[in-house]
Amino acid sequence: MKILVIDDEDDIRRISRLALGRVGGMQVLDAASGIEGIAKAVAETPDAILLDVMMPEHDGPETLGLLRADPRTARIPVIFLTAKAMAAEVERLRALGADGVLTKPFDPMSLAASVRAILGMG
Amino acid sequence: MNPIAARILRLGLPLCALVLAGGVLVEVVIERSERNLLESRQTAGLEVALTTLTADLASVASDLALVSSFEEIQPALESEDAGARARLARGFLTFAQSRRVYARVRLLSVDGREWVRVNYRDGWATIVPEGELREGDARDRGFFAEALKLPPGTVLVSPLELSVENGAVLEPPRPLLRLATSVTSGEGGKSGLVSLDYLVREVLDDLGSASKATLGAMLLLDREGYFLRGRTPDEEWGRQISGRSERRFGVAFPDAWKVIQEGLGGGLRTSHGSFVFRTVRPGSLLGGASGRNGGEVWKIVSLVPAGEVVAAQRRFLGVVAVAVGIVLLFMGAGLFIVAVRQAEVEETERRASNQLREAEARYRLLFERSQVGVYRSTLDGRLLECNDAFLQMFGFETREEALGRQTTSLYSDERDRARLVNQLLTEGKAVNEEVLLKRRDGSERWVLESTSLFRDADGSPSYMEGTLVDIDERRRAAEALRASEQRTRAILENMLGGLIMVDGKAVIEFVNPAAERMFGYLGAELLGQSLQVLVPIKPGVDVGVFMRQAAGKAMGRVTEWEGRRKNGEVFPFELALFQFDTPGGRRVAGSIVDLTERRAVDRLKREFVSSISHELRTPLTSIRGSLGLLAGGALGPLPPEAAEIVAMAERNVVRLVGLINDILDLERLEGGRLEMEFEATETSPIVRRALEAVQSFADQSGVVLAAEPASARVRADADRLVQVLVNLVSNAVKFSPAGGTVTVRVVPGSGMAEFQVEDRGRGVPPALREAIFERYRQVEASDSRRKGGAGLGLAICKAIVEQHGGAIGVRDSETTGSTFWFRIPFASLPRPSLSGNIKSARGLALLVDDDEELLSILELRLAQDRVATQRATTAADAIAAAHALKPDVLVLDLGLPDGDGSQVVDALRRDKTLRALPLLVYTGRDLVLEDRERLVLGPTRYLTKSRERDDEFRSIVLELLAHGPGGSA
Repeated sequence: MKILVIDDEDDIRRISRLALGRVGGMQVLDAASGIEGIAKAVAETPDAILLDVMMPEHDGPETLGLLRADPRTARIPVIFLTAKAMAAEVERLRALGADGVLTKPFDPMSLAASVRAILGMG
Repeated sequence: MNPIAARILRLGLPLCALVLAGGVLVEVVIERSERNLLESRQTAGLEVALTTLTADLASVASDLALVSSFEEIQPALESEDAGARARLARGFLTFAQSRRVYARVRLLSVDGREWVRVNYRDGWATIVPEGELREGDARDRGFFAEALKLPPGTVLVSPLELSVENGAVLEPPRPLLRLATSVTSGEGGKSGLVSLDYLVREVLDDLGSASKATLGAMLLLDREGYFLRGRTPDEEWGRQISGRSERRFGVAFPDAWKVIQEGLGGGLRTSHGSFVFRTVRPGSLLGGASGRNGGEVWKIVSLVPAGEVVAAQRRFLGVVAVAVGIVLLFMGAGLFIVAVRQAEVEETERRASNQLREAEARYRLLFERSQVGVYRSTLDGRLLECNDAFLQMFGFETREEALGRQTTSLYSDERDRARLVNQLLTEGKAVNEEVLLKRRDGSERWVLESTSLFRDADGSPSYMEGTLVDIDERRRAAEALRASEQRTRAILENMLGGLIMVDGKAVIEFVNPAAERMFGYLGAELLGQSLQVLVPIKPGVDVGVFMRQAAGKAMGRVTEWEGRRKNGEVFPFELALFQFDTPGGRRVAGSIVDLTERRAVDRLKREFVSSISHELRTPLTSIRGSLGLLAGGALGPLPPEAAEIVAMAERNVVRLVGLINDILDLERLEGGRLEMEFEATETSPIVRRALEAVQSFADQSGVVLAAEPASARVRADADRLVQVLVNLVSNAVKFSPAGGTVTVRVVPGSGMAEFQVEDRGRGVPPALREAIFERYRQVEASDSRRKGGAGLGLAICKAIVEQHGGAIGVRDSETTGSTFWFRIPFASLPRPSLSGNIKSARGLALLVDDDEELLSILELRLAQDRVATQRATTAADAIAAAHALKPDVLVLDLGLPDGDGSQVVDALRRDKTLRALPLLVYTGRDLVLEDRERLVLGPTRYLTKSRERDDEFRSIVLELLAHGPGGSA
C-alpha cells in the first residue's frame, strides 16, 4: 500500500514515514507543500493521501480541492491530519469531502492502523 | 361635702338666723303695736258705749222732766176729779205711744198708790183702767219712798233689772230701768211721784253696736259682777233668773274681776284676754238733772278674748313670715350665686397657684435635674450657685467644692470667659458661644454657653447667670461625621468602579468620577437627568416599570447591562444594585464596572489560549511521535535504562497533550462554544465505558472499582458524561489508598438521576467544597505535584454538567472519604397527566414563567382554544420539561429565578429535536435587537407583557401551533 504524506513540517513527515513505513509496513511518499504533493499524487497515484490542514500557501482544504478537481487524483482517498481536535472542526473537514480526519498529536504506533481503519482496510 | 354647699351653709346659716331674728323682732314690735292699737280701739269703743249710754239716760231724764211738768198732774193728785186723771192718762198715753220705750208711765201718790198708769207693750200703749190700778209691792214701795225723800227735780234711778210680774220674771226678759221724781204743788200741796219704766233693751243693744267698731264684746256688769249685758243672752241676768246665779263675770274671769271690781277704770290683760273697763254710776249720767241711783254702780267692760287678741296681734305674722321667707329665698339665691362665683374664683386661683407652684417646681427640677448646667457667678468670677449638671459637667463631687471658685479656672482658655464677659457688658447677654471647658481632672469638654447679665436697681452689673449645654459628643460626632463624609467622598471619588445613585423616578442624583469617565460625561451634566441617558430604555416604557424590572434583575447581584456613552458608543457593564432609604425617599444606587476592557481581554485570552494550544500541538506532535516510535520499538530495541527514560518522556508528553486538550475544552465549554449532542441515553453503558477507561489506571494504583448501576434514561451527550465520570473516577482512584475501593452508582431522584463516585480517600474539607470546582484548584497545592494535573478536571466536569442542566458537588461519604456526585435530568419525564381533552387538543404549550398567577391565567386562556398546557417556573424545569415532553410551542418569560430565559433557549438549541420548536418570548422586558437575535428557536415571536392587544397572546400561540414542531426548519 502506497501512501502520500503532505506536511510542511519536516519532523512530522519523518515521524510519519517511520510510523507508517517502519511500523505500518506501508510504502510512504512525502511532500513538503500542497503543490509538491499534488505533483507527487499525479506522478505516483498513491492509495491514500495524509494531508496536513495548516500549511503555508495552499493549506489542506485548498489542496484537497485541487486534488478533487484533477481527474487523475480525484478518486484518491484523503485523510486530514489536524491539530484542531474540536468536533466542529472535524465536521467541517468531513464536509469538505475528506474521507477521514485524524488529530495531532498522534500515537505513531497506531497511526497506520487508524489509516487502515478509515480506508476500510482494517 | 360639696364645697359649694359647704360655703352656702357657712355663710347662709348666720344670715338665716339673722333674718329670722329680725323677723321675730319685727313681729314682736308689730304685735306690741297691735296690742296697743287693740287697747286703744277697746277704749274708744268703751267711750262710744258710754256716750251712747249717757245720751240715752239723759234723754230719759229729760222725758221724765217733761212728764213731771204735765199741768194735769197737780189737779189729778189733788182732786178726786176723775176727769183730771183721765186727761193726764191721755197725756201719758200720747207720750208713751210717741216714745215707745217706756213700759210704764205712772203717777203715784206719796203713799205709793198708782193714780194714773199707761202700759206700753208690743207697740201699743194702753191706759190702765182705774179699777186695775194697784198698790205697789214692797220693793216698789221702798223705791218710791226713797224717791219721795228726794227734793223735787231730783231723779231716782233704780237698779237695772228685769221686769217682774206677780213675782216672776217676764218672758222674754225685759230689762227695765225705773226712774222716778217727785212732784209737788207750788204751795206745799199734795206731793206725788212720776215714774218711767224705761225699756233698756235698746240701750243695751246700742251698747252692743258701740262695741261693733272693736273686737270682742262690750259687757255691762252690775256691782256684783252679774252680766247685764253678756257675751251671750244666756249668761245675762244671773241675779234674777234662777239657775244662772253662777253666771258672773267674777266666776268667768276671776283675775280680771279683782281689778275691775276695785278700779274705776283702765285696762288689763289676763290669760283670758284684754279687758278695758269703766265704772259708771247711772245716776250721775242723767245730764243736767241731778240723779240719784241709790248706790247703783255699773261696770262697762270691753273684752277681747285671748284668742282674738292673739289673732289680732299676729295679724301680720303671715306677712312677716312670707316677707322673711322671700328675703331668705332671695338671700339663698344670692348666696348660691355668690358661693358658685366664689368657688369659681377660688378654683381659678387654686389652679393658678397650682400652676405657679408646678411651674416653680418644674423650674426647680429643671434647674436641678437638667442636663443643662446652670450657674450664677459674680462678674469677677466667683461662683455663687450651680446645679447638679454643672457639677457633673466639671467632675466636682460636692457643691462646696465648686462654690466660691473662680470661674476663670473653669475654662480651658481664659480668654473665652473674658470674651463672654465683654459681650455681656456691651450687649447684656451672650448666646450659644462654643467654649472649651476644663474639668477638674484636667480633661476638656465642648459646651455651648449662654449667659445673661443682671443689674442692680441703680443699673450697675450685679451678677451673671449662665447655662452650659454639653455638646462635646455632638461636636465630636459631627467631627467624626465630617471625617467619615470626607472618607466616603474620597472613596467614591477615587474608586475605580463607577457609582450612580438615582431616586425612585430614575433621576440621577449622584455620579462619581469613575462613572463620569465611563460614560464620557462631566458629572454636572448628568445630575437631574433621567437614567435613560445612560441606560437605553425603550421609548414608551414607563420609567417606574423599568426601575422595578431592573431592581428585580440586579438588586444585590451582579448582572450585565449595556450602557451608552456620550459619544453614542454602546458598551457592556457589570451592575450590582443596592437600595437604601433616605429622608427624601428610597434611593437606588448601582455599582458599575466597565466590561469593555475585560471583554477584550477575555477575547484576547481565548484567542491566545486557542492559538498557543494549536501552536503547541505541532512540536508536541513531533515529540510525541518520536518518543512513541522509540518507546514502541519501531527504531529497534533500546537498552533497558533508555527504554525506561523514553517511556517516562512519552508518559509526560501524553499528559501534556491531555492538559492542553483540557485547557481548550474548558475554554470552549465556558465560552459556550462546545456543542453537545443531547440524546436519551441509558446510564449503565456510560458507567461501563467510564470504568473500562479507568480500569488500567486503577489496577496500576491497586484500587478496586465497583459499580452499582441502576438503569435510568437521561438526556445527555453520552461521550461528555463518560468524560465527566472518567474524570471523577480517576480522581477518586488517585486519592484512594492502595487496596481501597471506588464505588460508582446511579441513584434516580426527582427529575434527575444522581451519579455518585464514592472513595475512601481523605475527603474534602467543607471550606473547599465549592472551590475545587473552580479552575486550577486542588485540595492542596502539594497535590498538584504529587498527583499531577493542573486541576482543570473538576472545572470541566462542572461546565459539562451545567450544560446538561444539572448540578455537581461533593459531600462526605457515609464511611470515610468523599462522594462526588452530579445530577442529570431524566430523558423522559412522565408525560403529565393531561386531561381528557388532550386527545382533541390542538397541541401542547409549555408555559415558562415564575409568576404562578399569570401561569394560571394563561392556562385558562389557552384552554378556551383547546390547547393543553404544562407549566415550568424555573429555567432548569423548563429545560427538563422541554426535553421530556417535546411540546408543540414554548412560551418563555426571560426573568426566571434561577437564570435567564436565554439560557433555556441556548440549552434547547443544542438539542436537534428542539432546535425548531416554535417560541413565544413573552416578557415584561423590552427586547433590543440583539436580544431578539439571541432568542431564537424555530418560528419565534415576541410579545411584551401588559402591552399586548386583546387576545394577542392567544392568537400568536395558535399561529405558532399551526407551524407545528420544526415547521420552519
